[in-house]
Amino acid sequence: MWRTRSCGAYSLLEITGLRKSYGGTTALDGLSVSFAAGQMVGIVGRSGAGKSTLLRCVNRLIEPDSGGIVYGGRDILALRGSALHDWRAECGMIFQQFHLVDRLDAVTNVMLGAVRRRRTLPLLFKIFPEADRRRAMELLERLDLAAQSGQMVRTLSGGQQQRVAIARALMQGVKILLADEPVASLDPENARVVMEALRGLQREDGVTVLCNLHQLELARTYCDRVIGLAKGKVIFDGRPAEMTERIYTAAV
Amino acid sequence: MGAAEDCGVKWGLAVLAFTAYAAWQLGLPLRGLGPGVVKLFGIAGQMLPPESGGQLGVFVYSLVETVAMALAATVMAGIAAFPLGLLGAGRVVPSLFARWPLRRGMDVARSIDSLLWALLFVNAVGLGPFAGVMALTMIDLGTLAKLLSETVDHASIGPVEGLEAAGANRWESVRFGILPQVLPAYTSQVLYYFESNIRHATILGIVGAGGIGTYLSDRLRVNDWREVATLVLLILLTVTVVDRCSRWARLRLERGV
Repeated sequence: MWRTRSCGAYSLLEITGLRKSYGGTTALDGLSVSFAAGQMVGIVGRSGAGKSTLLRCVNRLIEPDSGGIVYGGRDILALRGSALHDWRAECGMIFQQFHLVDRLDAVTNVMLGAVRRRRTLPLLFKIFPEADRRRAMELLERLDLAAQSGQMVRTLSGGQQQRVAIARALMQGVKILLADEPVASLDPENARVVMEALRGLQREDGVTVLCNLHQLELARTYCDRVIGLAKGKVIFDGRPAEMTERIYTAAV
Repeated sequence: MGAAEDCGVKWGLAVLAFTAYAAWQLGLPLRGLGPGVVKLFGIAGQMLPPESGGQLGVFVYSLVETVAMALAATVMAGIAAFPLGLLGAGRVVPSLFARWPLRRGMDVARSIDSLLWALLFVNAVGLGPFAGVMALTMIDLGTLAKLLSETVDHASIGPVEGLEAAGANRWESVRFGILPQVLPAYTSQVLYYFESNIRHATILGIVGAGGIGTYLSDRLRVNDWREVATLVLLILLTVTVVDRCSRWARLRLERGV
């Protein structure tokens, strides 16, 4: 196992010189940033600032052009095959459009979070261990969705779907959660519920949460640290209180 | 605006002129149209009253055979087209090089008419319903596989991405990310092809590939219009009943019941 250089005692995830461009447009322009364990970090910036690309590079849904991503001493960009699948299971991701299996019920969606720890063949026939079902029910209960566990996901509201996605991430046993605009398509009340749930994950389960947000207000209320991105670079990094609306609009 | 209209008029005139030229070249005897229609009414008169010549049992049996042919072909094609359709989808097999022969094979299978396939199979496996079943299977195989490939490629990528982000491998993400999205549409298409197969199966007998078409072409040849009428009525009844049942099943499926 490699040791990271200069990663500092508290650095869990270290990103250095990350670059990614799509055709002619640069999404990430040599971005470097590191994250401490157990924090809830808000990443703010306009559309196209590179927020989403950054998170997707971390779990390798997108391959960066160059740069380094090191997590707990592991070179994430070197992972291949089943090691890559293991990493993805370890770092959960939730999306603006939830990305659940619409035509399956909530509890099955949550059980699929354990996909990496279970054998493929029984899974393909929807055979899940009883223990997984119990655990999934516990998680749904924790997220106030016990009554909806048997419902098809597509019949649930946006806020409920996002909480199912969070339950699935918990089922994965995540150490770090990437949340890509998790509340951008929710009304304020549901946004609050989902942000509280993410905060709960960080406080009670010690999960490191990286959360892309449009609204600075949400970042201020729920995050320990705010990172501002513009044109694929970090232009602000500090405590939420330090990030005033003035700096935000001027820089971002 | 005016230019576009001008262009439309020019094209319209060109199409009309070409049609007239084509009719003249083919020597379409338009003068023969009138007497032809009169004769058609004459035949319709000769169809009444329909009768079965004491062969109603044989006719009904051949009709059952027709339905059985359609069913066998639909089931075989429906099962075989499923893996082929998945493999033909870019989402499942990203390599264009690997997909190309499969997709072109599907195109070939479905662009040959069922009567032509039937003739080929009558030569290959002999007269009878088996040739008909094979002919229908070939066409459905090509069409169903192609439709499935396209449904898969147009399915929403969201669930797949969500599962991949949770650590699912390709099998698992296809099974849960794609199948639940495409299965209802696929089943509905298979049912639709069952309806269409019944209609096709009724004429395959004309080239000796089994079913009620065998009797139909025979009675047509000897101008036994009353028995032809009986056969046509029987076919009409069967097609209507199967269409109704199948449509009911498809509607329920689409509603997700």
